[in-house]
Amino acid sequence: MLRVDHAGEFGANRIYAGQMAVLGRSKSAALIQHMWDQEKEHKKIFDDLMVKHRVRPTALMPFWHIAGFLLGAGSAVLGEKSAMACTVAVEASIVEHYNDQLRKLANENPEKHAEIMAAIKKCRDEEQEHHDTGMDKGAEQAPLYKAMTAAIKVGCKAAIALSTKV
Amino acid sequence: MTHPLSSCFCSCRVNRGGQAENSLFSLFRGSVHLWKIDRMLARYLPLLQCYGNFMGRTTIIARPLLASNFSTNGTTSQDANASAQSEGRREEQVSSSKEDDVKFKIFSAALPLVHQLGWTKECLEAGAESIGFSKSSHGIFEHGGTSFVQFFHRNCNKELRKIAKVEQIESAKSDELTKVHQLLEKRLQMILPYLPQWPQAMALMSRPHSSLDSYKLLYELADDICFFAGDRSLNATWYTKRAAVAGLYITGELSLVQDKSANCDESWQMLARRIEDLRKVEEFGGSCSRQQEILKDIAQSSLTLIRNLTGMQSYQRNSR
Repeated sequence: MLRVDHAGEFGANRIYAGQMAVLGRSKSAALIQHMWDQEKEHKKIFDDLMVKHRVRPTALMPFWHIAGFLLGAGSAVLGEKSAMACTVAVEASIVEHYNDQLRKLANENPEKHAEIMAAIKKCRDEEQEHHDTGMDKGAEQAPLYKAMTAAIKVGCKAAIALSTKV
Repeated sequence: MTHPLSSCFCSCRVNRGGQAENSLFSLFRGSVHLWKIDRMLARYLPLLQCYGNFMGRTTIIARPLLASNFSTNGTTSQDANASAQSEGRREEQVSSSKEDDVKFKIFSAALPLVHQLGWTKECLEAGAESIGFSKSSHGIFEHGGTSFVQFFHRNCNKELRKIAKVEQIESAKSDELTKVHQLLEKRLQMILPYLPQWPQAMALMSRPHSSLDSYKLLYELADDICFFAGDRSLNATWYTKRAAVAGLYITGELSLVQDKSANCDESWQMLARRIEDLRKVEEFGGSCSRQQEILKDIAQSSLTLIRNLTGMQSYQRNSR
């Protein structure tokens, strides 16, 4: 469980890095940088949890390193609104995934997993914030919004399924 | 055979007897050959697998040692085990911690007898008898000699973890590879007292039905050593480091088994040389990433140069 969360935050970091690489000098640069910094914090939280529980990181790390960057850069090349749309799609799937995990942990044993649950809650709330920000900045006006968000959501689901096992 | 119509439909070939045969017949002959090869493999492959690659060991080293030391009769001991288990089933009703206790007692009593009786069910029997348990209580080790060796490995890994926890406080200053070296040496030294019978133990662990367990034990060992040496990486190097440590352990084990020098000095020197090799690889990796940054700088500056030469830089500046 921690493995997929760690991989997810790592992927999100790379997506924002890709977006910054393309849109580094545009007006959304400050916003993307702010969101990226928050993702870096999330990743640090999960890094500490992973080391504490001695969890094996996913073997697909190099793959997510490249794929995340390409996704971020690719969506940013299509325009600022597309970058926001990509953010919206990714954050939506991540929020859904965190909610699933919280439900699962709460069903099993809330006291034992209190620390992990608190970390996931914090990350989920901030990801929801990113999602809302993205929507505010006109993600829905991006060209091919529906198709792109559907494709990205499917991709995220596949990535989550893979990283849990591998 | 050489009818023009048939040669239109089937490609002909000439066999060694000089007769033309059509492709259907040659297919049939080919499949008979394949069947023969398959039967041969079915007969010899299980044998090869038993002596095969356990943790990367080669049959060339293992086979002559196995010939002299390997003496378990796998199939017959399993029948004896079944009957002993029905008597030893009394033990299974106790709680698991008590079972571990009993297991550990029998194990410690049987260890000194390994020199005479090998890693076998008989050794466990003798150990159980020597501390007053019934002869059939060796059945608590379900697969006889194999379970004996697995328990030994698990115990050694536990001991290593205890040692590592103590040393983590003391030697916090030495670098990671030195700690890996120390931990590996300590772990390999744990098998030194049983070295003459160790080929038998290795053979038992390399059998197909225990190979899953042996890979798990090796993975746990590599993970423990890396963790206690201070590795906190969370990317692909997690995997490469553990693979390297596992490989080092196997090389060390193999080298010890056929080492004839005093105090196994050659093996320890070989281990030290392998650690030095790893250190060089690490330095090379570090220098590669430094060179990557230099390459990036070169790429960026050449791009700026091209932009200047073609006038694109000034075009951008003017258009703003």
